[in-house]
Amino acid sequence: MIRSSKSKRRLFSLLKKVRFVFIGFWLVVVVLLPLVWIFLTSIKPTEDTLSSTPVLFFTPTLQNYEFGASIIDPYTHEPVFAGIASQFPRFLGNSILIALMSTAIALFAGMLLAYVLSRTKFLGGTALLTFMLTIHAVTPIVFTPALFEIYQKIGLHDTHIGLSLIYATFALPLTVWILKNFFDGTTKSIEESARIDGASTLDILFRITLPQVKIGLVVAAVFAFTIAWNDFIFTLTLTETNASTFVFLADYFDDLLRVGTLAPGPLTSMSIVHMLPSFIFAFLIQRYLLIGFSAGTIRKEVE
Amino acid sequence: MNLLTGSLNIKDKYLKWLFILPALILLIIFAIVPYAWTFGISFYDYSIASFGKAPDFVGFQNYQTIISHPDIWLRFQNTAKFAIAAVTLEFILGLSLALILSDYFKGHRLVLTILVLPMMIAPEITAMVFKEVMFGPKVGLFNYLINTMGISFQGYGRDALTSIILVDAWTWTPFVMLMIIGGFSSVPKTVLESANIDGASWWAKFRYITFEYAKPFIFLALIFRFADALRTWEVIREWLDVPPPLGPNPLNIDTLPSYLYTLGFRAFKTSEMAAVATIMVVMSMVLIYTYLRYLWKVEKHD
Repeated sequence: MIRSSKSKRRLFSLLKKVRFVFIGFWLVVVVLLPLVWIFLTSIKPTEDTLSSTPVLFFTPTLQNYEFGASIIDPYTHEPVFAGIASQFPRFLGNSILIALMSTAIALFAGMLLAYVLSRTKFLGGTALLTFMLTIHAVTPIVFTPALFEIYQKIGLHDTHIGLSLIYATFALPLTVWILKNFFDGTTKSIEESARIDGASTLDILFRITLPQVKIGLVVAAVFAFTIAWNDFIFTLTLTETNASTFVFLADYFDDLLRVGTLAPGPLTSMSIVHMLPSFIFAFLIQRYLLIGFSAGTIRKEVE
Repeated sequence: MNLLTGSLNIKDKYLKWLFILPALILLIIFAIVPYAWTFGISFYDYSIASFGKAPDFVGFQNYQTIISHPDIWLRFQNTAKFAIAAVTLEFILGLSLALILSDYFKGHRLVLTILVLPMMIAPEITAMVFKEVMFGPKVGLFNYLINTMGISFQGYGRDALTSIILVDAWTWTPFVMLMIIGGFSSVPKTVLESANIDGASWWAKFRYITFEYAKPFIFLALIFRFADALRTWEVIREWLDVPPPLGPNPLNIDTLPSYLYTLGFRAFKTSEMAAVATIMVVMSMVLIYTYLRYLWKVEKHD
């Protein structure tokens, strides 16, 4: 008995070691190595980024981050960002503004719908949840030609609010599913006793129920924010420069890549500028991010 | 029906519809109407590049063109191949990571946050930067490392599909992992404790308790991932853009969503794109409905 538990314990500690090797490998080699490599490439002198054997020791330079005319493409000897560099701060600002606006809209509309779906059983509720899942499964490309035409006609083309409304709509499926689950988890007895005390439905929702699902709201906000922050296809089709988000630049870079005149330096520095705000965001909300994934995934979403 | 207690109250009845309204308006204007337009245009001869020209009605001609295209079956196959391979890989890796990380340890939260970072990057940018600095034949780090280890790997050419699947797995494995961790954490502690008292083995506890509780989460992770994989085009598009001597055989990697992009944004054949879109929407609706019915059955059975 004692011996068997001893060998069991040995096996267990061996397993533990294997686990940590695996997790360490994934963390360091799979996730961090590419990210660090992208960062290193962005601060390397141009000739080192073009070397066919990886260069580990170099004099760091910030030349790739001077998004003015100073970045000279090594292939064409032309300034890489001429004409578009002045738009960089604007695009980054647009990204933040539009992501925040669409998150607010998605949270507001999604929260109200999720509350109704959680508290009442009405005909079409299940259909609505299923329909929203279908939207999630359809590539956004499908919607672009129509939205392009519609936006031209109603004057939403290249506007911040136009883009925000789209992102809010496509964030709704996840927002509603997550928030419904959180509402399902709150106790209804408090709401009922508040009602007996004469509180109105709005009072109850905003003063009693919403504070209970704070975490759910943060989680839904994270998803809504990421959807807006990471979108490429809508900013490409529905904006020119006024309301374009940062990922709009990807198309410009893609064109350079296709004709073969883009060095790794400018590409990686652009990527780092894109990644940094959302990584900081991830670390700021890490507590909620994880709770959200565990509690926010819905157990009985399709009843 | 009262919003809270289930008794009818005129004021609350209106309030209920007022609550539904904002989301419903958004969904109708920005999802249903555009899709209906796309569906309609699939029966016309229309291009987004031809301004002001009234489109001609052509009936099912666009569908005929699409279906009679010699490569369409290959694109179907590639779509299925990519989705199945990517989701399977992500599931195996995500499950392993979840099994390890479901136990709490010091630095747990930091590790999880770092693992999630790949999901926070725009897929288009991940695709471009991985194509250049990881898989690029001259300056790619992954390409260099794997060739140094003596494995012959042509990230752009022969092994293009593998590279694309690896990029997808890099981005989305953490999603599967987090969903499954969520499932594991949904097991009530009391159930595991009583199983301990009954002297259940580790395997029995995992198979009959943890796994049973995690099942709906695993299903949900799989449907979300599978749906995403069926609409992925960014990374495939990037690889297709590599010119011929070095690049992949397009017939090996081109999928329906990347074909959709080509038709809509490169060839400006908007009507044909709409036809492909409609075929894909019908397909994903059938898949989702079948899946949900299966899920309902499983939940009822439980």
